[in-house]
Amino acid sequence: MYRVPEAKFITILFLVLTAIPNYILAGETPKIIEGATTVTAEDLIALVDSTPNVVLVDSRIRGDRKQGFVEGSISLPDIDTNCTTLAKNIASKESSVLFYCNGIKCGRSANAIAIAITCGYHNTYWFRGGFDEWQTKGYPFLRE
Amino acid sequence: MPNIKSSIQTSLGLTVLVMGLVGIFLTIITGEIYRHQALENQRNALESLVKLKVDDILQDILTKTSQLGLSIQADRNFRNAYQDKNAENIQTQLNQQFHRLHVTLNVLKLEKFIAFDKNFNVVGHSSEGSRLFGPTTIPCPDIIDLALTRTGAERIKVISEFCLARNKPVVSVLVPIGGAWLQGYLLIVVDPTLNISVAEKQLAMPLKIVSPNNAVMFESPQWPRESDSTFVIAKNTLYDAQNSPLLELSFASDVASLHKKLETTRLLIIIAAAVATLLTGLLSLLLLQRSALKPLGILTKQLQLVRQDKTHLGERVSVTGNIEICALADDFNDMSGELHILYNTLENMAFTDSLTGLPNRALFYDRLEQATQLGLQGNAPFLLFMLDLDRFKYINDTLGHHIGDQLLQEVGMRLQNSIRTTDTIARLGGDEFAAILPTDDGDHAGITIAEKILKSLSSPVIIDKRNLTISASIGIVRCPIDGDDSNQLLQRADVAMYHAKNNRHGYTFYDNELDKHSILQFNLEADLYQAIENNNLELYYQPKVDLASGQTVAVEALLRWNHPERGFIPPDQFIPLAEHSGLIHPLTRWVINTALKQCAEWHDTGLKIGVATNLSARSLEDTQILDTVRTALRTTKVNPRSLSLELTESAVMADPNRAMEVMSSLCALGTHISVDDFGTGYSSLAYLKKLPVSELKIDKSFVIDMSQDSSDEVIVHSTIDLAHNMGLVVTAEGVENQEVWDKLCALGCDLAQGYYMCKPCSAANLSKWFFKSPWGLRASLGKNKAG
Repeated sequence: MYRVPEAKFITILFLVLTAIPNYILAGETPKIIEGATTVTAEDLIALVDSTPNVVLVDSRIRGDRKQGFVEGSISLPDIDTNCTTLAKNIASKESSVLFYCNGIKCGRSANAIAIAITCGYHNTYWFRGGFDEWQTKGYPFLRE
Repeated sequence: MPNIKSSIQTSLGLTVLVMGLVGIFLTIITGEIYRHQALENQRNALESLVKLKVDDILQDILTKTSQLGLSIQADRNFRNAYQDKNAENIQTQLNQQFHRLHVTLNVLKLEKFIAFDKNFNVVGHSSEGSRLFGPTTIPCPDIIDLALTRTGAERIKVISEFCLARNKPVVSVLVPIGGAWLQGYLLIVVDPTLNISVAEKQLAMPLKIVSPNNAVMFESPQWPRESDSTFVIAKNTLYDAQNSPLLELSFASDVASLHKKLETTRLLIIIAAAVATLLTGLLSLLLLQRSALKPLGILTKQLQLVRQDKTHLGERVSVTGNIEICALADDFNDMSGELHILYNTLENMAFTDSLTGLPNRALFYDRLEQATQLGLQGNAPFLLFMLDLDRFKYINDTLGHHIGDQLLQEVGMRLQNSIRTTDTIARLGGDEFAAILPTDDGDHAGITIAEKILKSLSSPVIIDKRNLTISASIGIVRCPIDGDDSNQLLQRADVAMYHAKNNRHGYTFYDNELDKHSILQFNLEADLYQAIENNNLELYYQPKVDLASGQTVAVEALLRWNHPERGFIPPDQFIPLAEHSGLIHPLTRWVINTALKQCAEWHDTGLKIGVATNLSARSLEDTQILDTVRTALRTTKVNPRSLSLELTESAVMADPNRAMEVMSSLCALGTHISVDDFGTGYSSLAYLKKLPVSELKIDKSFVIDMSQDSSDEVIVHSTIDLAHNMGLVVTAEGVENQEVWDKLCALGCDLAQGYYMCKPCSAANLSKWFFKSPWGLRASLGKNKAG
């Protein structure tokens, strides 16, 4: 038997920890998603203005949606998101699709986007701030 | 400032009381301020609370209104009507809202809905709700102006405004239609009063809402009357965007319990302040009492003690207290000490005779007064001695005052040594001394001490190489036997002393008999003085008859005093008085002058008789006597040989040297000198021989009884023989019958005097007697003629 020197152990631990992205340690989702455009609430409104047939997808589960939702969004929880359900709500793979969920700590919209990208949608927008940002910025929302 | 006298304690007490009252007053004022402050705080707290609540409510209104608006625009039916731009349908949809849950449950009081397109053109509105706003009227149009300024994402935000529309405060909320897919706007106007009035219940405080033009928009039934002071009114004013007041909300909080609590607190504070003031006052007084008042009291008490009894002077008072008080006490003690010394000095000066160092008259009288009071109680009998030196005036006059003073000092010393330590001896003045001798032994102690005193004075006093022989007379009274007050005792001691002096007894105890003779002696003295001045005295004359021829050869002038009130006063009573008082000298002058005048008168009528006058022993001490006689002789032009001056044997023997001197001078004038009362004294015959005496008068005590008493006859006989041997003329006094006359003739006596021939009588009567008596004028005239 031999003992691993203490200093060596600490060095390894340090390297491991620095290798993990900050957003993982903070419980946040990544800032960007490969293949999707990350947008703010204002971007969302501008997107709607410029592209009125954009589809807003609310990736939250039903219970969360009860708190309120962005008017005009459809409810498609990430767990129910697949190529089939997507196709049912979105006209074509070329359509602009925006995903949001509760907020920056919510991974559901990111999941849904990943699925959508996999399914071949390539005009995807990710409203990373989600409902939290929408509400905080004082934009109107509806309740069921 | 008025001069109010009060004790320090009172002043301090009042000061503390006033300070206490000021303290309590300040406490009340402070309490009142705090009470006001507490109410103000309460009001401020209430206002904060109310503001929070009202803000909450307003926020709630906005939230609910915007939620309502958002849900309406999202409603499919409304959205359809809106997209169709069907104003009627829109109105229907909107009117429905007035019957929905939020209205029927009083959640919101809807006033009006107006639907706009994106450019704020009205596309529809409600017709129900408030009649105040006409169909096309937009209440609070400012919100539209505001909305028009927005761009981009801002345009889909809900905005609201609180404003006054037709004097009615309303909340306008503008919600977007279509959300991010903005199609237009829906304006919702609600009346906030309803929601605000809910606060009344939530806050449990009566509410009153007043519009800017003072119109009461809401008032709780419980709203208090104006005068009710148990309520605190908290106000909250709502303003519009332009900061103009829209609503004034007043909440009334019942602070009766707070009031009560404040009252109780105030009462407690006042009680505490009063108690604290009282305690502080008491403590201050206690401290002052200890540090100032008590020591001051001790000093004051000591001052009073000193005032009552000067023997307390010099006693040190020890006090504890303030520095100033201690300094005062030290100064007091120092001053008291100095005063003590000063007082003692003064007392010594006041009560000590400076010459002899003995107590003086004042102190003696004081002691006598005390002794008398004790003596009268029967416990402490004492003797009072009154002592007077014999012939002191003579020593003073002849040898001078400085000798007299030294003599008095010596006498004082001897007297002091003769008495006991318990006795008091004092010099009353002149040659007068007095002593208080406490004794239970009465007469015996008196005799012992008196003799001791006389013995101590008997040895000659040597001053300036002169041998002065002195003697004294002592009068003794016993207290309480002889008198019951000090004056009486003194007077009686005087009486006894005079008696002793007159009788040359050395000392005499007082008895009532003495008093009878001496009563009112002091008055007599004054009367005698008056008598001399007013010529009220009279001379009587008694013939001296020649035994061989049976003829009157001379007369003896005898003084008579007929007192206007007391009648005849015998010479042996008033002569000692005159001698003692010094009146003897003018009296002698008067007698000599009067007798010589009378003699001159007789001589003028042819009666060639001599006249004899008596000289007192005191006359020998009179330095003027020689002048007196010389002047009288010159004035009356009487032959000096017609004048005979009679001196008693004892007078001569008292001071033989002086007698010798005076007699020689008188003799040199040509007058005769005779020795009176011979046989009663202790004359040294050998000495008599040296004197310029020409006549000897045998005392009547020997003569009166000589016919019966053979020893008297022997004395008379031998005296006549002796006198004749010395070449003296012999006169027998007290011849009262033929038998004696005959015997005297047989013995060869020269002259006779007595009642047998003639009693003493006035000059007028004697003149008559001369003419009718066998011993009288005839014989004299005859003799004269024969001569």
